[in-house]
Amino acid sequence: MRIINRVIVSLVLLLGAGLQGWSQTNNTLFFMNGVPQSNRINPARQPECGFYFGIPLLSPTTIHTSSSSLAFGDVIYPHPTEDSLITFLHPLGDQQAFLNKLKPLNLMLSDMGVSLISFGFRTGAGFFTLDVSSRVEGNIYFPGDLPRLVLEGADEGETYTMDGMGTDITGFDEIAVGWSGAIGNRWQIGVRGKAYFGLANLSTTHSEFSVTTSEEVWNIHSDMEFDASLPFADVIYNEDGMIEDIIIDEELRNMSPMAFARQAFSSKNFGLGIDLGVDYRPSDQWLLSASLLDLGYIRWTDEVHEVSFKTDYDYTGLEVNPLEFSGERTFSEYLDSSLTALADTLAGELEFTPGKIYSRRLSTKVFIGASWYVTPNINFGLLSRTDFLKETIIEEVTASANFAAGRVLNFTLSYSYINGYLKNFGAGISFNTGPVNLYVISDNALNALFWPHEAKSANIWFGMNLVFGYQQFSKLDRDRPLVY
Amino acid sequence: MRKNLLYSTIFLLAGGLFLTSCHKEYFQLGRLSDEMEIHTDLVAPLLYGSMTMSDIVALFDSSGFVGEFEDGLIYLTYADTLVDVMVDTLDLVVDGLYSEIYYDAEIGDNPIFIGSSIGDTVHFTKSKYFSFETVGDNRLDSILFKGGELLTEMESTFQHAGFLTVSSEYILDSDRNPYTYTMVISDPSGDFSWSESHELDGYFLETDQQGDSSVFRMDYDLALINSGNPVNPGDFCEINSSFLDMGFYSLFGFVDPNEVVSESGVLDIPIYSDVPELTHLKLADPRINIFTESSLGIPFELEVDSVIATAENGTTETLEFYEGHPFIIPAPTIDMVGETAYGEFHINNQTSNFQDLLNIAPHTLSYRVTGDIGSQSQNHFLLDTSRFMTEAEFMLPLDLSFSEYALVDTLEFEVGEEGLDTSIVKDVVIALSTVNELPIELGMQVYLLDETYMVLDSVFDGDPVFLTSSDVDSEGRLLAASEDSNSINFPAEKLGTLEQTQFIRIEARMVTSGAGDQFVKFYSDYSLDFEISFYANLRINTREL
Repeated sequence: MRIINRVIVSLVLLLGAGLQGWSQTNNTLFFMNGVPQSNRINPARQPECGFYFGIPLLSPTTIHTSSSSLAFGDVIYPHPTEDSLITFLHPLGDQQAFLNKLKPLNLMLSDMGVSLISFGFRTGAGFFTLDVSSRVEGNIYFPGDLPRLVLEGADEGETYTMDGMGTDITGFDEIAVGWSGAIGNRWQIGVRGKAYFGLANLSTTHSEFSVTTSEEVWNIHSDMEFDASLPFADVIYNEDGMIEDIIIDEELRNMSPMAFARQAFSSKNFGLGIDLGVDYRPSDQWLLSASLLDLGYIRWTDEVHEVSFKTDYDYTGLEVNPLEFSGERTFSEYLDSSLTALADTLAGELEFTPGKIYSRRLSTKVFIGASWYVTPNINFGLLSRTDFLKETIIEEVTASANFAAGRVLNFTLSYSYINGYLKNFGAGISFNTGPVNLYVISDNALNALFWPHEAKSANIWFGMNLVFGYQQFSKLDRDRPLVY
Repeated sequence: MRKNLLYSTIFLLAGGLFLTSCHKEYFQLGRLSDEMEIHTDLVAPLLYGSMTMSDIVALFDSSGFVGEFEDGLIYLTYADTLVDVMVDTLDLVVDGLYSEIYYDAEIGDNPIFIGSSIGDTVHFTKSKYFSFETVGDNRLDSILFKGGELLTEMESTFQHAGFLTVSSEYILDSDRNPYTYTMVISDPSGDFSWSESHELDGYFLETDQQGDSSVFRMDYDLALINSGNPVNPGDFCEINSSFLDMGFYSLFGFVDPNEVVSESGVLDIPIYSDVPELTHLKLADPRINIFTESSLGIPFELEVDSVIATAENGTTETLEFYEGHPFIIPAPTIDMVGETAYGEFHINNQTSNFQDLLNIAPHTLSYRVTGDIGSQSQNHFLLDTSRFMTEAEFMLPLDLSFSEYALVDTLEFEVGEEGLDTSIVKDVVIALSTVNELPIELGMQVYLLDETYMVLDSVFDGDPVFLTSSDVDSEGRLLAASEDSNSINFPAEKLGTLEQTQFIRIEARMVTSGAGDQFVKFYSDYSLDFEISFYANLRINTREL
């Protein structure tokens, strides 16, 4: 394979093929009782209806992205004197402020979920649900020294440490069957079993990378390993075991829906998972809840490849014979030759090999919440969310005020501490008009009103359901207002 | 229910007000400026390399004029053949030895002939010496002829038959038999003539030394058979003997050891006036080696005296030989005929003060050369295959010093078709680090000139020593390499100047270790290692790309 292709592939591996992502879970949703899909975040929850059916592709669609270090306003902000926007790279931008925001290792989380089928129904044994959805999760880990190297330059005697750099991207389809039932008057539990069908995966399994720069030598130390499953691509190796070509189905490149459909629900990358939830009402005023989501894994077996980039290379320049110096070559040409030699050498350290079967767990999340009911229609909640990522654990806290106006309207205001940022104000609203249920929820919706430039994360759920059996349910359970 | 609907309506209106009041200006990405600018530094190694003295020598020595001794000391050498003579190429042919024998009225007056009866045979003998004139004690002992002929012509008006015998005990055939030839005078009519050519190839000629000549004798015996006819006044018999076109296979004798060559003169040596910088060059061990090969049986002696070098300032130095002079050029002795004798002569520090002559940078050299025949042998010889060859080898070991060597050169210069983008490159510093084992100090300055050769700027600040010489011991050998770091700073103004530069003038000066006060040696494994790195301050603006 040509060197340029290898470099491109390497960059894709390093920086991630897709920086955009979409979220599965929303903290504010935890307290949105009027939304049927609230059981996605707590399987113990039961919608206050006998049957619901989510509109395909709309119920729900979830989007989430967050950054551990950078806010929107760290990247884009108003021109100081003109009526326009500028980036931090603009001559009037503040690159130093940008760099100051970065941590040694920075994280960008993003995921998306689209529901294909979502329905639930109540029986005497409890509430049953079936959800079929497609999800993509992408985590980008980028070191603060990487932009520092680019923006501040390679200085004498500096070491730019980029350990942990990499990406984890997983696309998969999910079929989930859930059940929720009551145990006595105070307990309600739920469980949801999941089958995963992996579409593609790129995982960074080990990442050490550093660059030390000086006039005499550039030392490039790398010990990076990646696993990948690329069922949508035929990877062709040459006799030396190096990738010669990557052929992606033409229909897939043309974004043909049929091509995507053929890739869906492939059993070659199969996984299992489970969600668990529990609600406990010690009194009429208190509701304690906990849930565990995405405890599971996917076993990747289809079109598996391993990529490694291991080197400890001292670059001391381009060796020349001074007695063969030619005036026909300019300084810039020597510079170009020198850098090309460096790139060629480093590209030569990339190794692509057919890989072995591997398993990757999903990003498991734990929610623990408590609600205090002032009245049956007004309550206040406090929620702790913990994300167990591969390299780190992220903790978020959300407080909410929840209001219900009968079955017509559910409204929630929330405040969250996310990614070290204190000013996340969210909201959620759910309407029920006849059998139609429509809702929009976000943990950061109000930030756009007051502090859009400080936003480090953004998420939104929206969906549309057809809900039936509310009256019947209301009569049957009038004496047991577990959810409102 | 109505109450709830009212609340919902109020909520929707309030929500709408919130949304319309949001900070939309942050999200109007259509107004996002695409201008980006990075001010960044870049420091990196660029080039590195090494060159050894042997590399340098190989570059400049396309004709094999450079060599190295076993210990690696490099020398320059030039060899040429001064003399190469094959005897057979010389025109050493004896031609025209001629003698005339004449018989006339003496025959008729001879009482024997008068008293003879008809039919009686009467002999009249004569001898004639042929001579090779010699000078001094020169002596020709013998010759083995290569080709040549003895032409004998006879005319007789005597009215008698008879015969003529020509002989010489000095001329011997290959069986050592003396030369003799008899011709019959068959016609007594008084009008007889005859001629005969005899090939002499392979004959020996032996001579006697008589005074200043080497001579040999020819004998003539004219026998007449009395026919009864009278011998009239005016009758004669004339015999002419001519030795023609005589070469030789070998020639023996003696060459007088008196002075045979003497030459003197004054040579101009223009190199020091043509390249005045060479006057600062001192050579520790210049050498001339002379090699001879001789199969001539004649030894030579060559004496060089009164060799005086005169420098531009009038300083003189006279060549003195300590040993090995005069040069006695060996030759095979008489018992080595056909063999070759070899000789070597060395002019160097051990044999002379030749070094001192060169080191005053002479612009003239006066000389006197005398060539003698050696006195080692009294018997000399030449063969037609004899050869004499003299080859001179000039050898200059790189054991030298120069206290000052300046080089100035002006070259065309342009930054290239694309030029320098000074909007991007704000400042460049080129750093050069060297590890130098060569015992040379190099100072350099580069001037930037416009099209009128006016100096715009200089590349270096001050007059830096670009390369420090290595440390050497008292023998001029490497003790420790020198290490230098030099930076060439190109701030924005100088980068701009580069764009106007049409010529560069390089002024370099070199001096050997110890400021040129001691001799230093250059070995082939001496190396000069270098690393070039750069620092650049860059300003990259997307709108200026």
